[in-house]
Amino acid sequence: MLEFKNVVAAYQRTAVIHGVTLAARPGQVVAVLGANGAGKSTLVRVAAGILPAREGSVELDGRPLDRVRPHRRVRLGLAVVTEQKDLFSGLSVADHLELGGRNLDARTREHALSRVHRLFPVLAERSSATAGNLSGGQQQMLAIGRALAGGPKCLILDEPSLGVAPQLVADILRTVRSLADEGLTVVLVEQNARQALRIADRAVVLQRGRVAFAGAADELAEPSVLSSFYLGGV
Amino acid sequence: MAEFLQYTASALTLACTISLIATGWVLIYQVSEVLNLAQGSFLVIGGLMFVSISHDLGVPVPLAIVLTVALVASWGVASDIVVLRPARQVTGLAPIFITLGLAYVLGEVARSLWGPDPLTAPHFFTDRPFQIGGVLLQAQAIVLWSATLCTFAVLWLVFGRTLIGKSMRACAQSPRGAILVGISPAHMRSLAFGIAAGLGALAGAFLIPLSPISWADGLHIGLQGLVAAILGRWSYAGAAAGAAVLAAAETYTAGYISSAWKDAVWLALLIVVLLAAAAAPEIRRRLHAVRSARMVTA
Repeated sequence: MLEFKNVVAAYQRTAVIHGVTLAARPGQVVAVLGANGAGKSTLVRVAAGILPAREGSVELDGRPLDRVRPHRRVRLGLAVVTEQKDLFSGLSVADHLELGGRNLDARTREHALSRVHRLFPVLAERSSATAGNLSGGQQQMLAIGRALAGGPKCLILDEPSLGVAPQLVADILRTVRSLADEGLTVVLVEQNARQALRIADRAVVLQRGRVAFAGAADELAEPSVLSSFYLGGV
Repeated sequence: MAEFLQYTASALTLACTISLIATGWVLIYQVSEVLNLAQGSFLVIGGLMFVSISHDLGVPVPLAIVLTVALVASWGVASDIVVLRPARQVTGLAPIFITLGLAYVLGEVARSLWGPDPLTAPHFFTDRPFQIGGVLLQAQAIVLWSATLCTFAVLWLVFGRTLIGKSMRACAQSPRGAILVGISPAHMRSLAFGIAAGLGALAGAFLIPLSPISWADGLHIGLQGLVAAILGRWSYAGAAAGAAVLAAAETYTAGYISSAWKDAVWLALLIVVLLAAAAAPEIRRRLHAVRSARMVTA
């Protein structure tokens, strides 16, 4: 289970997140929604350890991550796919997946790799292609595949629909749903709320760094309710 | 023709030495974005330490080379951990001045330990030159060429085939991406310093029987490595090619014109390349405009 407890985060002196609390349980997809500048990506950076929380804590299965160095969080089972994807443009697809599973023993690594290939067959087909030569959708699949190759317990996805063709977004989100059904904890940060809500169990809406809504995803299904949060009316 | 080939053989020896230093420059710059002005000092310390270990302590040459490389590589790692890692938060020109300071400190350490005079070592096999097609060759030079070739083959295998090599490349291409797969950029930077220092030491150990090395040579040879890296646009293969161009320019100038001009020529070459690189986007833009205009006219 991944928990954010009263997290406050800031860039230099400007606070962007003001005491955000949310929890994601195994088997759940929690959609984190909000307009541009609401603080969604900052929350991802705090979880990844790229930006330290000024106050509060992030816990994975009850273990605080605050003192765990960013690169060590992967070993604890936290996988993050950032908005920029952060791929290695000159390395091949196979290299990415190998690096993703570098902390696992050979057997677990093989198991994780075959799961990635089953979920995203195109990564097996294009294993020798370099990341820089993949399409936007394939790069997104590679970023998710690389994260899954490490056999995580919790997956955080930041804007997986960005720069990806709509049909492919639907495929990717279906895959994300199936991962949660297999027991993975998923936090899906998305600006495309409607698509995210289709696969989410719970939803959190951020407004200017604060939680404006937290509850079942169904409660946001009504378009007028959703748009009210985006327009800042609630 | 024999004279030209003789100069070419000398240029090849110089190119091998510079390419090892340039590879260190590229490695450190790609992984940590630091311009390490102490890179040439690793060659000096390596060469002088090899003399002490092999000659003074009587350790067999192969073992002496391994010990020298291991000790200097450890020195490189320690330099990063003790001096550069704490200064990582400092931006701007500070890291360059830190490495410049490190170069001077290493130079002074070398002077205190090995004295002010240049040192040399016996050739690994024989110091009697042999002749091929009118060209006098030293066996030691061929050893240096072979060692450089083997080193590049090993580096190619390490960076292309091993997990640690791929981790370093990953870190060079996207430090944040590296963190996301569990790689520590700090560890990779230290490793890069270690390998770069080891390459410098290797160059020093193989070079010192051919060319005496003094405590004060570090900055000069380091600068040559930097210029080769710039000429090669900070790629490994490019740096090796840059080293070959620089070595050829220096050797042929010294041979056919005057040795007084040899440094001026390769530094002038650097200026030309930098100016060309600066002008390239504008040239490309104009060529594109001309091509577009022709297409419209057609």
